[in-house]
Amino acid sequence: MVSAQDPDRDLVQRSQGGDRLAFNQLVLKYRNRVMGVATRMLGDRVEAEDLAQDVFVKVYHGLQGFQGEALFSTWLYRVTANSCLNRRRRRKRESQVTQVVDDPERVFSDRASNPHTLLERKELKVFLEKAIQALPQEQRMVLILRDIEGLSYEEIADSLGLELGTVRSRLHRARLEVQASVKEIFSLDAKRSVRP
Amino acid sequence: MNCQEVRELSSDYLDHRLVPSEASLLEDHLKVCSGCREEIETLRTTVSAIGSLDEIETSPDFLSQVHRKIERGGRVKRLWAWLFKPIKIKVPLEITALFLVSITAFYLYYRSPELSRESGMPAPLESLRV
Repeated sequence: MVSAQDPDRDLVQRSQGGDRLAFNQLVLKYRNRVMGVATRMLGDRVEAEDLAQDVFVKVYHGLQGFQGEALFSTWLYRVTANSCLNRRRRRKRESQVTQVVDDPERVFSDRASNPHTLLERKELKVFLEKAIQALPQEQRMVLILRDIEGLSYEEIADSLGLELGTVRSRLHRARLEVQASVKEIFSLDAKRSVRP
Repeated sequence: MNCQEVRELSSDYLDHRLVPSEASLLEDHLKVCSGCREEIETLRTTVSAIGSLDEIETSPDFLSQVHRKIERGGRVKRLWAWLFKPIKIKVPLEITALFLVSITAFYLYYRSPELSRESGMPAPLESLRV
């Protein structure tokens, strides 16, 4: 029985009853989120999309067994996380990001000094993505689920089968790692903003 | 609270997971420690930046691809079920059938000179004749 608090309750129950349109709506609602997790975990868009499709195929076949013990979204993230980790294990070779940015100075090619403008720059976003890619997979998954997908600590623990303390420590370490990478960028930006 | 403790608790603080007394102690430290203030703000900015990363979109035909995979998987499942289910009945029958066909083929091959000639090898029984 799907929880009454589950915002997807109606769609899930209709999907379980064979309503294809309801299942389609679930796919359309969550496809980009699954794609985001998969892309950032696998580092390859084509493979990520293939995995994302497989996730929804698994969901389609597993819906009958979904008892509503967790929110549908939590269960979906669990399937996604397990699929990502299994796919990475099966890979013969993993793509490695050894150098995050060749030249941080290049990020400041113009004179804009407003940090908010800085954040909007595509270069910084690419830099952040690479910094996330460089994280160990356990930290990366938690960071993606928390800071990008917006799951609570409890939902992450439920999705990944972890203790809350483990979620907390992995998230903290991941954030510090990314922070260390971007600190140099922000300090360079601050120096430029005070130049005469 | 010292700087090391603040650093350890900085994520919890930003996520509002500290109990009020701990949060209060941390904030008291931030009032007097510019280094920790800067650390917390940098972490806040980092977390905010991560949260502002672009959504990654699937291809336009994603939904049809999902259904194609479901259908393909369904065909494989139906074929599997047709071949092997119920397992306790079909599998023994199929093994027996395979065994009988193998025995028959073996028998025909060794009894038939024509088949041996076509294969380019002497029939095993013929090769033993003097």
